[in-house]
Amino acid sequence: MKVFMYTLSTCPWCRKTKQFFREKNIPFEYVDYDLADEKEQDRILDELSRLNVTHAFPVVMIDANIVVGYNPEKYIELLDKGKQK
Amino acid sequence: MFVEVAKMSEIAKGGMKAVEVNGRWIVLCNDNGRIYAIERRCGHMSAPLDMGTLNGYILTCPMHHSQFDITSGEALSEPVPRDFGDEVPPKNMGIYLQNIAMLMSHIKTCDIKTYPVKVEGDSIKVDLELKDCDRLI
Amino acid sequence: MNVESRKKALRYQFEKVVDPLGYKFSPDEELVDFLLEQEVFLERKHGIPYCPCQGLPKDREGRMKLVCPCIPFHREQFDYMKCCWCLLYVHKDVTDTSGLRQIPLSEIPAAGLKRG
Repeated sequence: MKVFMYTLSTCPWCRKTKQFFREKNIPFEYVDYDLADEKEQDRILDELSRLNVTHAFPVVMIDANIVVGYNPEKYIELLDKGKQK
Repeated sequence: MFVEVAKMSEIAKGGMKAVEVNGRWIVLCNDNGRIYAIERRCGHMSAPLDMGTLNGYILTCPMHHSQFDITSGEALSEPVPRDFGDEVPPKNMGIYLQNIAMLMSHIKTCDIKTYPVKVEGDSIKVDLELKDCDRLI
Repeated sequence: MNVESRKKALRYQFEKVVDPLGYKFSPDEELVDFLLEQEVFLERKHGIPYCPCQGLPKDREGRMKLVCPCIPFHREQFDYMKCCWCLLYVHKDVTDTSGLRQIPLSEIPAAGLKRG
């Protein structure tokens, strides 16, 4: 199970999201969009638009599932689903 | 020493009025019935603040939109934009420049301050003796 | 420039803008304070207080839609959420913010979203 997220260093909900996974001891990778260089930002925006996501953060990807916005209930649901596989 | 500079009836609530007092230009601001007096020159580039906008206690400069607290004189924000960066200047740049010129036409050029200097050997000393009303750059 | 003074000034100005739109500052004071502080830093960096929870696109028009308060540009979505994206503003009748959550545009029902 792979957890990856795009976040903003200025967003409290992104912080809460990282905190959620840390408290559950679930390893994850993240990129703070606002701290990335221009090229990387372009790449991220491209990726997000291909996934039909606007520039609202956080964007959490649990395997192939995408959750936009802080949503701990959804994270739990997807993590449980992932464990069952 | 207090001197009369205007009448209450001359400045509506939310309004401003520039007045010249003994060669100095100040702006009177009416925040919901309370009058505040500030210097006319913006702390950024000396634009006439009475030509800006007053929203409660916050005055926005007409030139680059720095904001000031009229109750304390505190500068609340930097000018916008700070610099254009790579952005291409607009086609109607001429209108923008004309506006700047219009604003600056209301600001007279003042004498500049000088400070006493003393040289002691290789050391150059300046007597600043700053007063509260002096601007620190 | 003093951060606290700027936060107070932003709050003073924004209150007047969101009130006629049917919104008020969230009763969660800690969150409001944090978000306003982030906006002060964003304003220092970019010259404009952008939403701290939305990524800035390259184009100016896109960026203008993220200047706080960005409610007018996301009206239907935020009205459905009863708050703005970062939860700085909430509908006037909201007293308890624990039930509010961020709902992406794709999950807003068509009935709640005017298209075209």
